[in-house]
Amino acid sequence: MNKQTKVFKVAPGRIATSRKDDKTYREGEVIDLSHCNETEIANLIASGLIVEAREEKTHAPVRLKPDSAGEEAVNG
Amino acid sequence: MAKFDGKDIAFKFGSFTFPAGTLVSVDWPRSRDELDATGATQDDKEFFPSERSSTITVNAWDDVANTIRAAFEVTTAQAQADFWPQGNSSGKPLRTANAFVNNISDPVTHNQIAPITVTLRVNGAVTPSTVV
Repeated sequence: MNKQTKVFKVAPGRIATSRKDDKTYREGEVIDLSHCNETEIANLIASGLIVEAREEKTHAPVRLKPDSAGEEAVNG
Repeated sequence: MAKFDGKDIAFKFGSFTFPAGTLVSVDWPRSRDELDATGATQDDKEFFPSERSSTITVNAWDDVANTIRAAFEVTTAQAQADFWPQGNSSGKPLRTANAFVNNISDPVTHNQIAPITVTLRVNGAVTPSTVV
């Protein structure tokens, strides 16, 4: 998985705290999981904590700017 | 349903993290006040649930460098408390709140390892989240 595609949204009713930036992300917020490996991401999806982030109009995967901490989602 | 032990517990207060091998236990209970709303003709007590509150009790082995005592003096400003019951790793739960120290005790006894106990008062909401 390309590092840029490791962008997800926090699932409804859930809160995630990132080890990368020590920030708390609430329901619907875009979060960059480029610091997580594939197994970790798979487990987080399976637990219902995160869902894949997609653009509302194009349904394309949300990508982050290289230096973004998760708040400046741009359409890739 | 899998169980877990406390081997990986971690606790952080502000920027202070306990030195390796010192943290022994963390107890973070929560409680809720109740208002007695029972009146005449009622045979069964009636209660209204009210405000929530909590305190945190941390037990550790004191360190020679005195870093724990220094970090938890009662004069220390309120700071963010983070508690990882199963360790700070992906998918594990985290509990966060603002808290201030309201008690610290570090008794020393001959021929025994010196413990230190800190009690913190949670000020405001407790936020549970998951580490990613």
